[in-house]
Amino acid sequence: MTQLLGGMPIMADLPGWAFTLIAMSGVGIILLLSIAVAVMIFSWAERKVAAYIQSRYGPMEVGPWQGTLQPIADGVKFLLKEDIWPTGADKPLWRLAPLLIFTGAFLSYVVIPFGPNFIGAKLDVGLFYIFATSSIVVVGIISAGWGSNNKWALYGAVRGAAQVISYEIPLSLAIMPIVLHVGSLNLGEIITAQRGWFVNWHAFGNWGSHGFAGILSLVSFQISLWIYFISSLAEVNRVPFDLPETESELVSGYHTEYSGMKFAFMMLGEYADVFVVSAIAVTVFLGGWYSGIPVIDRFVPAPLIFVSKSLFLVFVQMWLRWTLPRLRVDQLMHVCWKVLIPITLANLFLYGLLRTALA
Amino acid sequence: MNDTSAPLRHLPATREGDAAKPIKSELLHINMGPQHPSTHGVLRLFITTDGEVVHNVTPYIGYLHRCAEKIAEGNSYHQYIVYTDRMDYLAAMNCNWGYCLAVEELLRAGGMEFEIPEYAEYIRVIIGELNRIASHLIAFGTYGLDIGAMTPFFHALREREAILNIFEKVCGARLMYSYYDIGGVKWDLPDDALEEIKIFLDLFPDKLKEYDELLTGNKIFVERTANVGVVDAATCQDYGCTGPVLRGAGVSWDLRRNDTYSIYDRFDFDIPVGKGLVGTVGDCWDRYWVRMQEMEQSSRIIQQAVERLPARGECMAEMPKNLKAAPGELYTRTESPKGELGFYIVSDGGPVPFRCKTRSPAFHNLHVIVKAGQGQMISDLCATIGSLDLVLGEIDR
Amino acid sequence: MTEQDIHQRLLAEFEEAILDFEGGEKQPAIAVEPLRLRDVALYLRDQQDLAFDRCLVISGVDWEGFDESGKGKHREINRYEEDGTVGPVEEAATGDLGVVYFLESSRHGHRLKLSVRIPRESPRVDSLASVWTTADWGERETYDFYGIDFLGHPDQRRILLPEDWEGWPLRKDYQMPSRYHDVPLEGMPYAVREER
Repeated sequence: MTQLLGGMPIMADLPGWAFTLIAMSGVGIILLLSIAVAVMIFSWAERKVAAYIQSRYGPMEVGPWQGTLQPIADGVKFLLKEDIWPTGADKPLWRLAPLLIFTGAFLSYVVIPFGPNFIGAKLDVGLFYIFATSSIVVVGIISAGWGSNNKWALYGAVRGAAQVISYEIPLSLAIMPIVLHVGSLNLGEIITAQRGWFVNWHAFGNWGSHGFAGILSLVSFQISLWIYFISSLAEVNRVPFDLPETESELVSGYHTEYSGMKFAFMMLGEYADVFVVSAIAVTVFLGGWYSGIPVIDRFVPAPLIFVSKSLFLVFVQMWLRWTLPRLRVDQLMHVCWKVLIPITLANLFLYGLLRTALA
Repeated sequence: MNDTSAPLRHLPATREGDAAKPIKSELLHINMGPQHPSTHGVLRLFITTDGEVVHNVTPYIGYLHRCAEKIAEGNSYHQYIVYTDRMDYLAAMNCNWGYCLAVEELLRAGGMEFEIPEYAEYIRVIIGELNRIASHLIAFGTYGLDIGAMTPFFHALREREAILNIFEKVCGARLMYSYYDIGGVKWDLPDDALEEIKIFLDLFPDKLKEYDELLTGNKIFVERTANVGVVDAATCQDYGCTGPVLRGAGVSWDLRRNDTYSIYDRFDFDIPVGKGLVGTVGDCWDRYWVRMQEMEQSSRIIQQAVERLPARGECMAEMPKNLKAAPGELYTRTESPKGELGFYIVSDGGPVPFRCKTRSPAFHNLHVIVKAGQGQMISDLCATIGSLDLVLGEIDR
Repeated sequence: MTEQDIHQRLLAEFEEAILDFEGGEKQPAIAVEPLRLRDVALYLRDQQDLAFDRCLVISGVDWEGFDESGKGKHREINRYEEDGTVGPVEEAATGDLGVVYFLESSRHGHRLKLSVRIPRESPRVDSLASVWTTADWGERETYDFYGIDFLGHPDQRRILLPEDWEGWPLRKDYQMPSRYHDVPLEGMPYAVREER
């Protein structure tokens, strides 16, 4: 973005801080718009995927083909809805919650590496930054639950907070072997470590740098991938971990008392988060903006490859949502603390041994 | 309606021993109100929980009470058939059958001699078993919804559509049929209905396998339902639970076999009984599994009935226009998909029953949640309620 | 055991309490004195060869106006006008109330109907909720509809009607109130029927 703006004639005359400000706002606006559009597409895709799995059609009316303009109708509906707030609700908290949820998701977009020149901010602690900002969502969830003055919302919020906090541990521990391997938290560098043929992808063990020990790193990184994927489902409250917003028990959990634009913001935040975790999975495990076949990399623009891989993972998440039942909250906790965390710790330890052996 | 602001008089607001602990904790009184996605109708559950663990469940019913029993005392026997549809609206044919059978038995006990044509009896069995399948399909679908799997519901409804289309061909209605009449059935089966029944029987076993793949063996589903909501056989007998709840607890008791009515003794079918295949005997999974097996057995019965269907004949016995039952009282019961559906009819010789009480299976099945719900988590409570397969129309009448 | 044997057993144990017996393979019926109901019920449940461990259904009956001659012309206490409004009640109801219990033994297979008749002025009878838990809700429903007071019931309150409803609807002399909490109730036609 800096280079783009630097080329413009007016910009060169502005003082440094103004230039940075405009560059930052530009990035922010582009990201915000692209998130909004992406979320609209996701909501349409979710309904279509759900429909075809359930042997029905889904949205068909609005729009020229298969209800593609349905999200626009939804957006208009959200904008025009009356803003109802529950009596006895803690107004400041209740109003703050959707903003926090959305902000937590939106902040992560800054470091997502869409392409070599398409990263908002090339942070050296990119991965760590993402884990940190995604925790803001927890504060939002609890504010929503408490501020709603509704026992069911409180249940959902408490469950959601417990779940998100707990699953951040296997989430980050699962990625640690990759970080050990690459030696950096910078997302761009993690991707560049996977250039070349797709055997270099971390999901397949990155044979390029491991050589014949690739079989062991394959096992280790595969474990990481699957545990990361499962934990990411829990992070974004998707089935089979969608107990905080489960419809059949809690009437929508912490979303219950929200309507109109506030609810739209929470939905926006959730779908944005879904894309973020898919994007991180693609970055860390599935080759980022490299397509795995060097010839294609020269012709197809990098962001297209990155986004299409992320969209595929988003599709897998939606597929799982409509196939699996949901776990009970104590089973969820049991899976996290007694199954996933020991496995990730053992994985980290073993990969560390492998690394030492190779060095 | 009910005073919800005051706590129930016989429940303490805090646990004993709370005063001694340094942190003050209270039990949470929470209301799973009449409008709730998971309570299968307008059922209100007043739950007292300690965090997620339920200490007490008190069901409040009566939101769908439509005074059916008082209405029975003002309407003739024929006029009341319509009201029996509305009780268990998901298995309306079986409710009709139960009532018509009760009136027929009362007439017979009073000395009236008539014989229901065999053709009509076969039609009754076919249609009744089809409705059993439809009712169990809804039980299966909504149970998936309660547990969180939203897809089996749509697949179940797809099959139920086929059955409802058959019913529409037979009697013109999709939900409230009033097809059975005292002495037989109202109209004959049309030809294309019989064809559709055969087509349905062909494709149904594959669908059952599909449901098993989707839900029955699914590890998450098993985790949610095995060892959850265990109701053992003694509790079932004590609380008066019947139907899949009792059979899921391991007791082989089915009125079609143990207290045979109509022509059920001519058919060859098994009575599935819960064996605790993946958990304890009498848990939610067992009740669910019993229903899945019953669907298979029902299609077996329909297959046999369709093969042995006698030549087309009368579908209704000769009945007087103004039906008067001789004085007497009788309790007759049938096996509806939910359990033992009984009608206790008192007659004093007139055209109108003096008293007509419905023994609703779901009413007594719901009672067991007071015991089974204690000590569970809220999610388990939803799973248990779903496994009891309640229909509020029947509970409230 | 055949129903005659059951009858003999009960007569031997509770001579004067057993008021009436009706045979019949489908439904042997025993009428019991209300004061000894609980003892009879416990005896039926606990004796090994009787073992009535299942109570199928409990029903209340209002015997007011029951036509003993069998012609079905039961006396109707309530009068309704053409438009469905409630007419004047000419005479008070005098008939008995009754409770009927249907029992079954899962072990032996025999069935029994137990009935009691209680006077309308003081409708009280022992609760069998501690004998069969099925009776718990069955008696609540009977209390709800008939106003029969079950002594010793753990939680006697209305089950199907709202808790603050007044009146006992299934009694033959029941008149609907004209309002319930701002909801007008009169003018609802109640099965206005002509002569048969």
